Amino acid sequence: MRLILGIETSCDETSAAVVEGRRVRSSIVASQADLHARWGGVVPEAAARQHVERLNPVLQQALDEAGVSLREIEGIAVTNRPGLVGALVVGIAAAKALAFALNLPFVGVHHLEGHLYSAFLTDPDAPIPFPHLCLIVSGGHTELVLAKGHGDYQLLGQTLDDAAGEAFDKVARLLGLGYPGGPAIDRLARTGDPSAFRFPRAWLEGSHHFSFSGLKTAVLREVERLRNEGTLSEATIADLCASFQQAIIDVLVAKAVRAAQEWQVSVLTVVGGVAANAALQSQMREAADKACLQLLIPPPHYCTDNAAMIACAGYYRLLAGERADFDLDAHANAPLAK
Amino acid sequence: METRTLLALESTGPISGVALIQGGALLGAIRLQHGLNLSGSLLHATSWLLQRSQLTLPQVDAFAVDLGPGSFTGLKIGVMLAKTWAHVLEKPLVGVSAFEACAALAPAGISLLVALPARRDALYLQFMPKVAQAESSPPAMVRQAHLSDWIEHTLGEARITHQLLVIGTAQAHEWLQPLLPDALFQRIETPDPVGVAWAGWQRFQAGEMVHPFSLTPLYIQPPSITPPKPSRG
Repeated sequence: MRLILGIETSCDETSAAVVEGRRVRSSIVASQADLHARWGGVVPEAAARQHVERLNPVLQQALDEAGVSLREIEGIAVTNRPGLVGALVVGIAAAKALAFALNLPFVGVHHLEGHLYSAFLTDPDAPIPFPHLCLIVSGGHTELVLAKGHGDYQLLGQTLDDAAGEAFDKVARLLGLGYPGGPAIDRLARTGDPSAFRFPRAWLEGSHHFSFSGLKTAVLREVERLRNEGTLSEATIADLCASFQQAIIDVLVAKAVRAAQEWQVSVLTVVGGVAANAALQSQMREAADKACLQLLIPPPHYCTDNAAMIACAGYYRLLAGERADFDLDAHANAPLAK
Repeated sequence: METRTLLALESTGPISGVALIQGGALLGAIRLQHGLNLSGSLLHATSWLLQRSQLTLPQVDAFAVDLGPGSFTGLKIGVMLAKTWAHVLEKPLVGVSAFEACAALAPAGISLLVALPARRDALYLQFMPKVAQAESSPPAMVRQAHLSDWIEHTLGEARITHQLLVIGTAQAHEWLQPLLPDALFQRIETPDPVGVAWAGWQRFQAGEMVHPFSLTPLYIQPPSITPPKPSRG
């Protein structure tokens, strides 16, 4: 089992990739961000329709850039959970059609398991250390996961309300910064003062869980107050962004490092779209250094949704002998681990 | 002697199916209530039909698929299966509308009005006159309250002066019969995969193929834009 074709259509990125174990031969992502920006968020049916139009050309491009033919592909991995069901079924139908036509084994991959493996795509020759701690931070998820082995995960904590990325998107919408919100807030926060506003941090002492809805509400109230006073200037918006972002980073960094110490792991990975945030990366690195933890954060193009991470996760499942059949289905919600 | 084979997929309604034509003769067809796992049901049915016909998928010469309108999810799954097979096996692909699939099994020499379920309060409609030089009406989604106006505007004199067969679901029958009291009615639940196969076969014979990258379903309705979901990643 060597060359794996990965397919990812769980939300608004149409992606296909060819990996050779952990070595990425090609990774193509057709983003729909521009399409959904006009609506301020992902419209599920529009996303699914785009996948139908784009997936076959994206598959071909992935094969062409990898310099391989379909006859050389030895297995297929496709995201089948969690995600927008109408979007997932497009990728699953394509994967099943490929597997049937070419008589290839295929597996369904949990989207978050894909993110977990994204940390190991940059250096394919370095061993994957188990156990390690993974902080998954994206628009749909904020989870702390203990990875004990390939396919063996323990959920330590998760958000009780909004995911970190969801909070970024909602605050960006509130401030009129457009969609997606994370990059816009990251950019504006660089010119703002992170201590200008003292927003709440939900520490939830004694647990590894997260909560960001109180923070979002606090920002909402502050924005309303500033608007009523007529003092919501560009500089104030930058301060709001920096202060809001800092509140999120403080919690993510402290909880991730604390969990790593508690579970006595030496490697911490931070993955998902929010992991591309520059301030989070630098502050997480500083805290990890102090705690003598090895920190792995994938490059930005592997932080956001991509099929290379799905193919990589699928590679280990196929290697272990796992096989899906025609009854593989899509699931909107599914835990990575219990 | 024509020996080429065409595999057709139907997935626009609650009953999906597969049909296989060889050399212009029907080899077999399967219709099934697919439940929740449509792609799995279609693949099991395809596998069985091919085995019974002593064929493999790469031996199929062309693929046809119902482009809709119909269930949004069903359309996407059927279209993705057909276009991916055509793509990776480098075989011709034809798309036929759900209206064409219904018309393919109708008697010749009669005007047709195909009426398929859209939303709770609407139908997908297409009028296919059998008058020389007359063209089919554009496919449309028409609300129940506007059916009378649409029929008068689209069918014109045909609604009373020509023999007319209405092919549609029970709901279409209930809504249209009072408006078209002289018409004949044929009830269907969903388009038949055999109709997709015949319409597809005629397109295939006529060389009316489409590149798999450009094949898209006939949704008619725009996507509902609320409520937006947060991004993932």
